Formats: sequence, structure tokens, C-alpha cells
Amino acid sequence: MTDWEALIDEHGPLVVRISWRLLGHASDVEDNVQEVFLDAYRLHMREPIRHWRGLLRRLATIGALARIRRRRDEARLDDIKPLDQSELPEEFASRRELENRLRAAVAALPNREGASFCLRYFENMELAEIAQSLGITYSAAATAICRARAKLQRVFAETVVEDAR
Amino acid sequence: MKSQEANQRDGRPLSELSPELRRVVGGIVQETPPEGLMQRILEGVRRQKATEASEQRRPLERRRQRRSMSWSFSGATAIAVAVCALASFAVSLFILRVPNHAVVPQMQVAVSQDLPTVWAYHKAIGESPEAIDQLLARHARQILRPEPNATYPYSLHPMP
Repeated sequence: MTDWEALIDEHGPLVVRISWRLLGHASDVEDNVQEVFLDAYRLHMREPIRHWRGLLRRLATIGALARIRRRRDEARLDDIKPLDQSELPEEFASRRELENRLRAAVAALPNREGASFCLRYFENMELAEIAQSLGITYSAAATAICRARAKLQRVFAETVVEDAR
Repeated sequence: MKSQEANQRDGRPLSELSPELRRVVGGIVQETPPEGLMQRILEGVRRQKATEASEQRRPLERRRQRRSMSWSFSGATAIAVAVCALASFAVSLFILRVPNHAVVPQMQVAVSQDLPTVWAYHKAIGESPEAIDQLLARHARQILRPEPNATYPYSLHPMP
């Protein structure tokens, strides 16, 4: 019998962190985390889960990317955060904008590429781990990451050039 | 490419990225959710699990309820069919058949011994074999030579 309390204590912070990095809004993070554990629970009812960490990472990443795609572009109170004293307001605004652009760009990638990119560069996972989490081969994971990286680098190179003007 | 492969082996993924992308990704990775938010979210998940676990028990009760409902429905249907069958049978027993005057003769004519009716012959059979013979002879004479003003309708001769 699965000890859900222990599971939440052990892996809950990981799921919250992944959701926070991708979504950046407290309400979205809360919704995503709840959905992740609900989906994991339902999957576990069908068949026993052996690798909880990998599954929860995958569900959190894919769920967050899907949420970004569905999200409307509206200002939220969560966006208003206390300023870091070491950062100038315009630097904070610029950084925030670039981060949001990256999130939107990653969400616009195909599912496998977006998820692979997030797991590789936000979670520092190895290719073998990523392949296992997503249920794909090692070479498929490597290809997805290369493609995602190439697309995003092109987008951000153009973005930086535009901002410099 | 070689340096990227080396970096991969070193396990430093961010170094694979271009400087612009690395800066932005690095900013995201460094962000951590506030501790209060973390605890609130995890508490919500624990409450949700408790609710989900209790709801998992309900499907069994729902299945039992559905089974008993289906039995009740079948029983009610069977009873309704039986009641309809009984009702139609009872109605068929008590319904008065309206006679068709074109087919059934009037009562007065029907009970008369003068007519070759089933009733007359049954009565004659009940009396004796000679009674039947007499009845047959009388009916034959009536057909061949009907008396005037007779109400006997079964004459071979046309009515005046």
C-alpha cells in the first residue's frame, strides 16, 4: 500500500519547484501540483508505479507546459513581487519579460521537445533519465533536446538583437 | 560541438546553451517558490488525497446501488407486464359482445321451433331421435311450401 503522505513529503517540493519555474504564478502552480498528484494517483490505481520521481517530473513538466498554452495573456496580482534590492526596476522588468518569453516559447514547442528541454536545463537531468521519464529512447531524447535548443537559441538571438535596437 | 559533448559528460547542461539563452534559463532556475506557498500547496494536496481516497470507496457503493436499482427496475417491469396481461384478460372476459343484427336473428325468431336453428336441433336431440326426424320433416315442408304471413325468413320463394 502506497504511503501518500510520505510521497507528498518526499516529492512534493520537487513538483512545486518544477511548476514554479515554468508557470511563475502561485495559483497556476497550485492547480498544476494538485493535478499532477491526482493524475499520479489515478495512474497508480491502474498499475503500480515503480519510479515515482520520474513520473512526477514528467507530469509536472507536461502539465505546466499545457497550462502555459491555455493561459490567456492577462496581468495577475501574482506578477507583482517585491523588488530585489540588488536589482534595478528596469532590469527586473526586462528579466521578467525575457523569462516569460522563454516560457511561452518552450510551451510552443512540440510536446516532446518542450518537455525534454525543461527536464534537461531546468532540472539538470541526464539524457538517460529524461528518456526514462518521458518513455522514449535515448536517441529520441537527445534529438528532441538538440532541436529545442536550436529553435530557442534562434528565437532568443533575434530577441536580443531587437532589444538592442 | 566537441565542447558541448564534453560539457554534457561533465553534467553541466547550461553550458550547452548560447549566452543569451543561458542567462534567461539561469534566471528561471535560480527562482525558488516562497516557503509559505510551498507549504500551503502541499497541505492542499494532502487534503485532496484524503478526499480522493474516501471517494474511491463510493464507487463500490454506487455499483451496489446500480445493481439493486436494475433489479428493482426489472421487477417493476415484470409486474407492469403481468398487470397489463391480467387487465386485458379480465376485460376480454367481461366485455359485452354487441350482436350484429344482420347475422343473428331476433330472439323471438331464434327460439321458435319453426326455424332450423342450432337451438331447435339441440332441444330435439335432447328429447328423442323421433323428435329430430319430425323437426327435419317440418322444416323441409316449410321451405318447399311456406304459409302466408309466416315470419319464417328462410324461404326459397321470394317474399311478396
